[in-house]
Amino acid sequence: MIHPQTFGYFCKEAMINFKRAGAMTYASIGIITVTLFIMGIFLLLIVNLCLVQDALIKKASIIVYLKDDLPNETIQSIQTNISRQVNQAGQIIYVSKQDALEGFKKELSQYEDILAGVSGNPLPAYFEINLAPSKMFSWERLKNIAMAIEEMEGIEGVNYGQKAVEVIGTITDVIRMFIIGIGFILGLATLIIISNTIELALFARQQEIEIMKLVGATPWFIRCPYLMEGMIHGLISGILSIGLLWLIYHFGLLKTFATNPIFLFLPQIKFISWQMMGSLIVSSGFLGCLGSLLSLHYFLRSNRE
Amino acid sequence: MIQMRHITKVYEKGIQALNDINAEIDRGEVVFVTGPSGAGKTTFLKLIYAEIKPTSGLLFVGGKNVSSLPSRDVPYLRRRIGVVYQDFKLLYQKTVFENVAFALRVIGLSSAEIYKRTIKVLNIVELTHKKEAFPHQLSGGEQQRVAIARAIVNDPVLILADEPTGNLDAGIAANIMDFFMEANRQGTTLVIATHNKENALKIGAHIIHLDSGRIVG
Repeated sequence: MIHPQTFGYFCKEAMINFKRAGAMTYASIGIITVTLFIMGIFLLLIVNLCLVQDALIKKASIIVYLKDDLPNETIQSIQTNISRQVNQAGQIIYVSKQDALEGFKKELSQYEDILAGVSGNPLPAYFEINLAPSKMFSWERLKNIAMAIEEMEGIEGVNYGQKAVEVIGTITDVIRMFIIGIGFILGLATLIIISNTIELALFARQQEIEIMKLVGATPWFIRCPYLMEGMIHGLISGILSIGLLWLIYHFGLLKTFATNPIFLFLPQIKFISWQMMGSLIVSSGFLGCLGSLLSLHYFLRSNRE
Repeated sequence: MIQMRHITKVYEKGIQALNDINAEIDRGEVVFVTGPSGAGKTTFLKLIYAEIKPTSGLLFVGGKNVSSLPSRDVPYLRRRIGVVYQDFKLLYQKTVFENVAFALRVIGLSSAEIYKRTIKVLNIVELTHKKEAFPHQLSGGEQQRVAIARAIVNDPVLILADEPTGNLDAGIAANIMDFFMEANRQGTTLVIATHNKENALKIGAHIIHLDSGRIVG
C-alpha cells in the first residue's frame, strides 16, 4: 500500500519532469493541441449538421404553390382535396399572395436593400401542409402525398424539402465515417508524440531510474510520475484545443453566420456539448497515459538475461 | 546467507564471466571477492542483487532462489540489500539528504519516517552538516559516504560493495572501510569486491579469489 505522501511525491516529480523537458514539452503540447483542434472542428461540423437535419425534420412540410389568379372556388376545392389526401393528420394553412409578400418582407426586414429591388408581388399564393409530428413520420409518405397533390388542377408546383434532408444526411454520414478514420489517425499521432516526449525524458533520467531499480522501487513506482506527465500533456492539450475551438467558434463562425444572409434560414449554430468537451479532454488525457505507458514498457523491460 | 551451486554466467557472444562457482557466505560474515580486472567480481555481485540471471547453477540469497526469481519479486529482494559502487551512482541534481532519502521514498514510507531514518544514517557517516549540499560540492570520500548512507538506510541484511575505495586515496579508503566494518558489527553481512587483497588480509576476512571466472583460492 502506497503512503498518501508518495502520491504527492509522484505529482511533484511529474511537474519537475514536465518543466525539465522545456521546449520539447511545449512542442509536444502544441502539436497535440493542433491535432485535437482538427478533431474538434469535425465534431463542431457534425453537431451543427445534425442540428440542421433535426430542424428540417421538425419542419417537415409540403408547400403547394398555386397558379396565379385562381377563382376562390378552385382554391376551396384544392383545399378540400388536400384535406382528403392528408387525412386529418396535419394542419393546412392557406397563405395568399399578399400574405406571402408580407411574410417575406418581415423575414428580411434587416435587408432593406434586397427588398428595394422587389417590384410588384412575384410570390404565388400557397398552401402550407404541416404534418403532425409523429413517430410514424416517413419521407416516403410525405413524397406520396406531395405527388398526389401535384397532379391536381391549378397547382404551380410542390416543394417538400426531401432533397435537402437527404443531402445533409449523406454529408453527416460521410463526416461521421471520416471522423472515425481521422480520429484513429490523429489519436495514433498523439500517442506517438507523447510516447516520444516521455522517452526523451526517460533517457535524460536513465541514471535516476537505474538507481530507483537498485534501491528496490517497483516498476509501477517508477512509472507513476511519467504516466502523470503524459496525462498532463494530454489534458493540457485537450483544454487548449477546446479553448482554440471556442475562439474560432465565437469570433469567427458565430459572427459569419449571424451577419451573412446565406445562412439566414439555418438554425443558430451551436458549440460542441459539455459531454463532448469532457470526452475530448478525458480521451486526450487517456492517450497521454497510454503514450507514456508505451515508452515505459520498452524502457523498463527487464534486462535480466 | 548466500549459497552458490555450480554457477556459470555466459554473456552474449559467448563471453564467459563465471565458470562453475561454488561458494557459501554466512550471515554476519565479511567476504572479499578479489581478483584482477575481468575476473568476474562485478558479475558475482550482480548475480546476488538479481541484476542478471545465471546461465546455469543455483543461487540462494536469504533462502530465496534468486536464479529463478520472477522479475516482480526483484524489487523486494533489493530492499534487503544495500549496494555501493566505485562511481558512487549518486543523483547530482538532488541534495545529500534527498539522495539518501530516495531509497526510502521508493519503498513508500511516510515523510516523517524518511526524515528520522535519513538523519540517523547521516549521523553515522558523519555528514549531517552537509545534508543540504549537492554531490558535486563534496569530496570523493564524502560522496562515497553518501552512497554508504543510502545503502544502509534500509537496514539491509546484506551490503554489496563494488570497488568502494577504488577511486579514493589510502587515508579516505581506510575511513570508508571503518564505516563498512561498523555496519558489519551491527550484524550486516558484507560482500566487497576489490582488486587488492590488502584490506582483506588486514581484517582477516573470508576471501573468494577469482581469476578468469573461476575461484582460485
